[in-house]
Amino acid sequence: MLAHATRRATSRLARCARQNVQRRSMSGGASIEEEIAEMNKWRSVSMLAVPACAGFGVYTLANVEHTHNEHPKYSYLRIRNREQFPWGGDLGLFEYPSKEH
Amino acid sequence: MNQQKHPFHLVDPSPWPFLASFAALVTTFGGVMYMHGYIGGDSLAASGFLLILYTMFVWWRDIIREATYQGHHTTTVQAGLKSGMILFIVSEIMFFLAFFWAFFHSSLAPTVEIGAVWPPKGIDVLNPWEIPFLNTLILLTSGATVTWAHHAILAGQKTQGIMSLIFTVILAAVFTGFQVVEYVEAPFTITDGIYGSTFFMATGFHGFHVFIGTVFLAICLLRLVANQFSTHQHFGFEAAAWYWHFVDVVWLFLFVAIYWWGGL
Repeated sequence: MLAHATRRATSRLARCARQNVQRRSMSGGASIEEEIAEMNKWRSVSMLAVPACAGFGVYTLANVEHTHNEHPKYSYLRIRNREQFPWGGDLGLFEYPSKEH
Repeated sequence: MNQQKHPFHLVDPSPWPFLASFAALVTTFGGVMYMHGYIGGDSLAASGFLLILYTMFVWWRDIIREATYQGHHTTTVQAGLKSGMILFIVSEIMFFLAFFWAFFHSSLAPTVEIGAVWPPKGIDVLNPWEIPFLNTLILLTSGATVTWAHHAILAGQKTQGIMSLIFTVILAAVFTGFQVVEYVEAPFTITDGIYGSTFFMATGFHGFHVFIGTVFLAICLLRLVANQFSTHQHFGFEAAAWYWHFVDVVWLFLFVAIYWWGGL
């Protein structure tokens, strides 16, 4: 009875405005201590992964070998539908004159 | 005193949407003129592009003003922004789906014209276990550093947030640098038949999205330094992190499908 009277007295808009607003809407409910723990976990992962990337990078770049195979000039390769590119010439955007090693 | 009796943000009239439209028009006209050799095409395209950049700057600056300094981004508004960002990323997934479709269409049943094999006869593929694998590790690591950054922001740890976000942006830039090296050093180009087309369209658009994501993260770094994020409101950063994870996942699919399987 009382609840019904209250509902009649309050406008729908006012009821919407009194919705329960979560203070930390992005946090997923975790406390500051839990966030600090998660932060430290991902910091540890990063401190492992970044040097690993650097190490693998050095290894990869040191062992890069360019073997240039000769191929027949197939008609479906090096397609040219007009005389030159918009920037002039025959070389693509990332293409440079080939230097024979 | 006027009170807003609802949780939404009714935006003030703004010239930026029209400017964006005009900038896009100028850019497309200039682009077409340049491609077809008309004089002034390059200048018009460049002007249009600069106008696009200016529009982005002033429009997003206004959004930051409305949100961080005028308080218009209520929980309800943020919910709308979240839905918007999610739907935008879904539309980008659809975009990449098209290029993957094209790749699989051509590679699963290679035509006789290219030797009925994939990779086509005459194509020397890149070794996936050299720079492409390194790039995979780099992007995965950047996913870890951006998660570190997020939890630092949630915990109110500004210094670690800045450090981890710097790591993320550096890793992103290193990825892009290695891709440029790959593009220059590759023994094939976009003009090398269907292999070149599918390879460079898919990886090229991915690279463009990496660039966008890197800029987004860099802006978040500047905003973090400028104290524009709080522990409980930092949706700009969340959106950047979502976008970055999307870029990472697309790369994983590219690596497995085009670099690895496509070179077998």
